[in-house]
Amino acid sequence: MYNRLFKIFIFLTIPLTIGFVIYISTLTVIITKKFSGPKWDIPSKVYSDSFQLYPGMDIFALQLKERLERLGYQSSSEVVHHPGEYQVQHENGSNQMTWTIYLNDFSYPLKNFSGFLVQLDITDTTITHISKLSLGQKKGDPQEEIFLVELEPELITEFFEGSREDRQVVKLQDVPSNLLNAIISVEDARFLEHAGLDPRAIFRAFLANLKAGTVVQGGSTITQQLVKNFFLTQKRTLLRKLNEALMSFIVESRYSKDEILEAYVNEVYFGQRGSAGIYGISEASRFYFSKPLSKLTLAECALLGGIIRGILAGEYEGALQEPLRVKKISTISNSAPYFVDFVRAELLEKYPSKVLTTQGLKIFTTLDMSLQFFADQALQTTLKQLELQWANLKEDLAPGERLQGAFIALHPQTGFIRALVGGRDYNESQFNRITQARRQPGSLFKPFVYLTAFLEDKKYTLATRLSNEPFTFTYDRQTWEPLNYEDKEKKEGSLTQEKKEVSAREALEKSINIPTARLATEVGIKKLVKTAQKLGIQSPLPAVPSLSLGSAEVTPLEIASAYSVLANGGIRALPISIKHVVGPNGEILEGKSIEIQKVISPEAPFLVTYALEGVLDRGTGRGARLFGFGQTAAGKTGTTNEYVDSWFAGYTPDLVGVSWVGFDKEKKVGLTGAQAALPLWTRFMMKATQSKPEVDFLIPENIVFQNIDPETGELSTSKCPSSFKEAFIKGTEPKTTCEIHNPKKKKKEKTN
Amino acid sequence: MKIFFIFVFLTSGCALFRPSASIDDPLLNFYTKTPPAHTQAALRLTEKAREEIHLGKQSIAIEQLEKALTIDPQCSFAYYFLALSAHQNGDYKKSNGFLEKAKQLFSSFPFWRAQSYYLSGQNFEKLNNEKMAQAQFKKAREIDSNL
Repeated sequence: MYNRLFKIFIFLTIPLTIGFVIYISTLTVIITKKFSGPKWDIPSKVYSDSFQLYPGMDIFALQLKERLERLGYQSSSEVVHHPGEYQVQHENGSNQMTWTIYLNDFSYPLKNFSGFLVQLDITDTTITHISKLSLGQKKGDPQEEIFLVELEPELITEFFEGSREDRQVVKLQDVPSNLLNAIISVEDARFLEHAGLDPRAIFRAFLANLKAGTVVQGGSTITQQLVKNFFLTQKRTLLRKLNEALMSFIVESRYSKDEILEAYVNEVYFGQRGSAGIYGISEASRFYFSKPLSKLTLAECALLGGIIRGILAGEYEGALQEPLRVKKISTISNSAPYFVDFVRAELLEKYPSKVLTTQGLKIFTTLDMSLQFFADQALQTTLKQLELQWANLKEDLAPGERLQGAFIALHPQTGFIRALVGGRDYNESQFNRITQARRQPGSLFKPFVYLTAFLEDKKYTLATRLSNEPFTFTYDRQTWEPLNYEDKEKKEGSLTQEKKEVSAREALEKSINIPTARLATEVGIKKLVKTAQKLGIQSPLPAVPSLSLGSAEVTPLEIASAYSVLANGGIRALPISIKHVVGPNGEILEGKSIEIQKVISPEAPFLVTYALEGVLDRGTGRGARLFGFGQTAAGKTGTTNEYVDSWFAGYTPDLVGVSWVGFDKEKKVGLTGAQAALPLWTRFMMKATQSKPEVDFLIPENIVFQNIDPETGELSTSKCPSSFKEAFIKGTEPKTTCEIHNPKKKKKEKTN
Repeated sequence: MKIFFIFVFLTSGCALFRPSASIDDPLLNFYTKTPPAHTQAALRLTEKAREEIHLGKQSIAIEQLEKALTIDPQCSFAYYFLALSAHQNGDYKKSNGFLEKAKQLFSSFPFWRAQSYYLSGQNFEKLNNEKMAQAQFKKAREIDSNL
């Protein structure tokens, strides 16, 4: 009998033991894999450009308050003592005020910035003086003057997979002992003594729960919690509990207490920021207190320890008698989704998607968040206004077929993309109309025709008279007969009287097709193609005469890049969106610096710019001036056949902006560039340039100015009814005075 | 009359012995009137970058100069020192790109304009374009005979 029972026992035990060993081995493999490799998927963070404050700036125009709030700084009515706080004090009865800001710490690609206290002295709204203060400094104490303050970049968004977990991994030796003690005392007082499970704690929790009649206390050790978070679900089942216990033993047997604690402090959950979970004590320290772990006070350490268990901060506050200031919690909403997509596409050329979403890279971009908001605001307002004004734009439209718009702004000198809005609603359509949409640019191409003429042949100037009479151009057994805008209108009943001849300036200012097309055919279409390519147009450009009127499809980004060369005196800066990519350990993986190259001599672009200033002052873009935009600027309207696309490309000496309005499907908008795209450009530019000092376009040394009679293009005399100060490349200026309005000459002619 | 001649002699003599400008001089000294606030801020950053270049910290210098250009995109000095940094890094083509902009913007700073042409000449020498190098040196000397 015993023999039989023994046999049964053996029969059952052996497979059970083998099964148990296999199970333990499997769990060990799972644990080892997790512990030996990267333990967490860390999202990559995308930042805007940093922002500099210096004396002379207008704090309202630069939206200082909004910037600080977006960065999570908290306004305080008391003296500022902590990073991430600022205080505004008004001097009674005067126009003076002071802003005291305790700057946050920040890890820049090339330096670790340690936050300090700064004071901005402001008269009216202008910063007059910046000084660095020390804590506890009183009014009247000597101050250290500084010339510039840098506000850290704003977090635009994060790249992540699945759920979003914000985490900064930290080594155990970098965690303050006060914080470790707080965590251990709150979570697992006998952590250093037990082997993964703490029977005393389990028994204590059992009694407490029995007494309360519900679960009020847990008996899990730090090791158990780590195991649960790493490998198991949150379900309360017996099997899960068994696995948790087994795995805790395995972890304790294979890894030191330090390794377990380090994993725990990086894994533990600290709350939510919008859709992102805050994990690990380092991220929590920055999230709640805007400071690194090394700067936490005793009370702050205690509070972090308490948050893990959900203990109210007040209990700790009372115990430690130290007032606590928790940073205002700001959520991250991607305010530049199209720009981020553009950045992501660029990064994906070098980094696999998995790296972007799991390796905790930091991507520093060129975006100016204020300009981005201005651009988005201008686009939304303009499209709404257009829909209100023109009912046909809103009629019978299926979802996703609404009127669309796009805008890009960049620095012509550096190529830094400062704002990019690729559509009116990212949730509705992720198609980036700045970088992906190829559209006919229409008259936006005309400046390139004149630029080619000025570059190629000295006989052409802004005063050159060009025929405005219809003509037919034959090429490759085809004919082409360009029409003026007015001619097209005539077919619809308009009776505009057209001039037979116009100056190059007038043709450009008023965007007249025939003289431009004629000039292009005279200069050569192939040369026009070459010029456009030099300016940065990369899309295919068929060498056909209609190219002069913008028949080849290009992206708004290409147009912005090409117009930058005009603004920058013939020098091309490659558009840049990413400045640095920083790896998880702070190493710079990639650094992009400004790259500029002279592509054409500066005189011809200046002539074009000078004429395009006239577009805003007198021509098709004068709406910008009527709207109230007064800064020195040049620009060009663009409208394509059948009014499908409306464009405006324009620039001040320091900022280029391109706006587009239309439908995604080829559908008539029915509005010109001046009617639909110019308001968008103007709204943005008015905001973007309000804090900028007015600068004039640089006049190249080979440019001379002459007063000419606009009717003849010859030097004007006092007898001429009007006179215009025209720019010429040295040597091409007119030598003869106006014959029509000069009676002496007329007399001579009669005698002859 | 004698006193007048002595005065003229002394003042012209002083002018002769006036120390010539150097690329290490404070940049603000080259301005005849105080530049606008944003230019001043950009100049201060450029000065810091110049120190970093001297210390061989090119990356930090480039970052400072790019910040200077974000504040004042017309800061001619920032382009010059970006060019100098690129030159020292052996990127002569890139250096010449920056110098083209510097030459445009230095129209009222002959000393620096000449320096820009001179550095451009050195870049072309390194790029084995002797003809262009000599043309740049010639232009530099036309602007500043001390070069």
